[in-house]
Amino acid sequence: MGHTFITELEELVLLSTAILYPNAYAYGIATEIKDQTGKSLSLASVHTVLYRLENSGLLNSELGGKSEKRGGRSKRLFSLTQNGKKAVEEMQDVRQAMWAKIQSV
Amino acid sequence: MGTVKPPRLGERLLSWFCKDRWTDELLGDLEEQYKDNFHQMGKKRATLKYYFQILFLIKPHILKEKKSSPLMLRSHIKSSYRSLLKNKAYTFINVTGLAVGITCCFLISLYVIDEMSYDKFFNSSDRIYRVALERVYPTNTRYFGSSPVNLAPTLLENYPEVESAGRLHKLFFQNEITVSVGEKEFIEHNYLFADNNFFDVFSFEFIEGNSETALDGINKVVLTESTAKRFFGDGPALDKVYYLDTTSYVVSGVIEDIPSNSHMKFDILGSIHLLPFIEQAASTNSWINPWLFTYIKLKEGVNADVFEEKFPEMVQTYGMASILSQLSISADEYPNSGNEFNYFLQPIEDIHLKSNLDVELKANSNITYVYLLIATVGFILIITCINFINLATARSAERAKEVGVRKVLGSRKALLVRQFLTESNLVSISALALALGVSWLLLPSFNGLVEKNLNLEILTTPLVIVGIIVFILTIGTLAGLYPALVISSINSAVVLKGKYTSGSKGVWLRNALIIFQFFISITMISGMLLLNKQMMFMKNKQLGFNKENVIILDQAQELRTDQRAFRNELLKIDGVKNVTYAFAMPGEFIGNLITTSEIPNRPQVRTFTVSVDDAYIETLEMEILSGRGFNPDYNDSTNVIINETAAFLLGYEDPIGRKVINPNPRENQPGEFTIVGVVRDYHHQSLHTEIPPMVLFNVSDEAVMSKVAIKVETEDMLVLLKNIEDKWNEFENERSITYSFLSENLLELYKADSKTGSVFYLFTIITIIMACVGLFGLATYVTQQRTKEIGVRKVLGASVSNIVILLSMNFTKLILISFGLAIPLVYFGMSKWLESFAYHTQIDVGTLIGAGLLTLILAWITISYYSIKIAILNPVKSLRSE
Repeated sequence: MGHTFITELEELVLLSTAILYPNAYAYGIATEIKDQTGKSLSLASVHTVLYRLENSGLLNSELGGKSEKRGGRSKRLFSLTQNGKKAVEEMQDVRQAMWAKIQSV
Repeated sequence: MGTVKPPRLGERLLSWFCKDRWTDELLGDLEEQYKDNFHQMGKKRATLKYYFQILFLIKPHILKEKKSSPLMLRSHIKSSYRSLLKNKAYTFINVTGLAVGITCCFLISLYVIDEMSYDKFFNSSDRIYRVALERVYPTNTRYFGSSPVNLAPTLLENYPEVESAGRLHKLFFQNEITVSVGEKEFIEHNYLFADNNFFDVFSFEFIEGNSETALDGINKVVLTESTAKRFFGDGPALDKVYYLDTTSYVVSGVIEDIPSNSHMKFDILGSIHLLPFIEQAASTNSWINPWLFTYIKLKEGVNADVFEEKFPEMVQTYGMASILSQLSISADEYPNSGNEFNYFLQPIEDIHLKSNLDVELKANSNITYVYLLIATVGFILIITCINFINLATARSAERAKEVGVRKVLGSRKALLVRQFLTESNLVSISALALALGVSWLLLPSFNGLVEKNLNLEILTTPLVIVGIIVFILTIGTLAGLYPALVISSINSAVVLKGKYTSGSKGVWLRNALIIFQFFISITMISGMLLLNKQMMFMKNKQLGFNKENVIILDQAQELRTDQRAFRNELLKIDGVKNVTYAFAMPGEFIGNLITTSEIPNRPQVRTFTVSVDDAYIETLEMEILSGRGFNPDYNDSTNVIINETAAFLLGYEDPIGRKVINPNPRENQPGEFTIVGVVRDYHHQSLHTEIPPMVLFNVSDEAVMSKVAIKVETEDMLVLLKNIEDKWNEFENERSITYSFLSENLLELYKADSKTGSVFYLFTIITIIMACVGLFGLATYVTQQRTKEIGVRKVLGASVSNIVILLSMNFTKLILISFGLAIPLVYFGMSKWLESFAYHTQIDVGTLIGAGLLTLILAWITISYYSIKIAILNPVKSLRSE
């Protein structure tokens, strides 16, 4: 327990990646987060988080999915690694355990 | 829908700074987002958002890594070093030029920083103010830094905004006192008087004694540390005693020496309660005589401007009774009497640079001079940079081959630019090293010139070090950037074919820079000439008396009743023409007195007064316009001589026999005086101020006066002085003689002007030398390139002078253009400056043309050295070159 702590933003990005799988890429994730939470994030901040998560081994990426809309450029498609899955699950467990202990809010 | 495209500029921008591995995907994401936004919010906002998104992307992990490796840098430095060594003359001009510029910059910065730092060392100095007085008289207005005795107590008692209020007094009439400590005697010049509250306002550090009781008795004095050491040696000075004449004073406190960057300066601080006239003014609640300097410290959060607005009411409430009785008018008459007492606050931090009132503790500096110096140093730096740029562009032909070869061998443009920037930064860094050394060497002489005690300590603070490094790299980069870009964009194929000449490339810029450079030089030379002219004007102006060959002796009061006998003895000396006693000689501080005319309903006139003996007018060779001078045959004790201005202001067309009335005579003083003579207006004060109305009183021979003036006429001044000294010693064996020359004393009045003048001269000369050095370098290179052309011309029959003129023509044209540009600036700028003098010289065409000619001649000399060298070269040689 408790070996990788992730921030809220990182959790949101990881969850969106899971939702959009197998078509999760930076802009898509940003739109998804906006739809789900109403928060508007810049591409740069999403990119920064993705880059950090990939570096710490929670995400994998590959290139693919060229489209006309993107001017024929490829996307970097992200997917959760085992560690990534574990990190969000752990986060969920911690939350639930904590909620269970609360009598009333 | 397919036609929607994000701006191309964004794409280029991103690929410029973004790592290649990210560029493609990010651009894709951006484009997708742009298209979505385009449909949602239209083109304008979508585009704006697009650029913002790119801007946000400037993050460390996205930015490209620097491509230059330490290896490359080493190679850059090595080849820069070689290239600089190869062109020694060029390197020398650049490095020394820049070093001179930076040295000037250092020295002036030190000076300016010191000027700006005045009085900031006091605790909470930003809350300390001096209360100054704008005194409007019916005929004129005077500004006093000083204020009446009761102002400080009134403010402290009645205004909760005031935290503390202290008073300071200076004896304007006495320049020195003699202090006896045991057997020893010290002549002291810096002694002031204060009340005990003074230490509440100013945070002086007490080494001995304490601020609470230091000045609460009339015979207590506070000394500065170094003064205490001078008087009493190294031991403690507290409770020790010194004598002034026969009165004893007890040292009740020793404070740290006052830093030189303060508008007040004292070694000895006595108690103001010692001075009877101040005690008397205080007891009668006088609001008339501005005899003291009042300093207040406002409580935190009090706005000085708002507080100032309470002053008119304060005058009304607390001072009006005293004012009315002094002016002998009723309260109803006051508003129309033309008299006003307007008090205002001066932040003490501003006094040194911005306050130039009629009465000050000591002569202050002037912020205009600080600006002038900053401008000058800016000019010097600009000229240095211009030299740098000009020389580098001019040399582009020489460097072209190297660039061509480098390009062929695969160097990219960015790398070439970096190479040149390394080179220029190497120059600027060596210049910095040189400048630091030179500044250190020159600082003592510079200190002597500006009479300050500056040191380079400030250079060791981290912020300054970082600042200097940034500054140096900026100069290096700025100066190197343009040439780097020009040279690195040379087409290598053209160069290697040998067809490249520096031609017209960069000539336009080079010419513009030369024009600008000489525009500055001519402006500064004219400024210098006019400054000089004004100084000469002040030195040579007919003052209304003859200041030449007049010896002044101080401390004449020591002779006491022997003054008359001493005069008779002096007159026996060969070469002594005349001798006079007075309380003040021209240029010295004189008092003033409110007077009125006999003619009813004329406004009061504030006259300056000086008491003199019968021989004063004759000795100083003043001119009596009507009536007579004082004369031993008459009793002139209630007679006066006035000047033309006083006659005019009193309203007398024929003043002889009319009266000058003193409406408030002190006890035992006559209330009116009869005018027996009118003297032609003479400049008792400096030429900064207009001649005021003056009244000369006669004193009887029995009175003891403080000054002697001796008019002499001799071939051998030394012998004469020796004779005078011998006579003095016959009469006065305790005090040795102190003499000075009137003409030199008067020059003291213009010391501040001549001091700034000499600093300005120095930097003007440096500016001109720098401009000429740059021109020299440039002319050398340009001429070198025309060697072949000149050879051909010579073969075809051109004479040496033809060629020299031809080569000088180009530069002459440029200098003439800058001359045309400089004239209006000089004219308007200098007229403004001259107006600050009440008596000033005129700007004449001769001076302006002189400045232009001087510049032109200097430039010609500079250019001609190399032009002649090339012109007399044997054409065979020049044509065979290459």
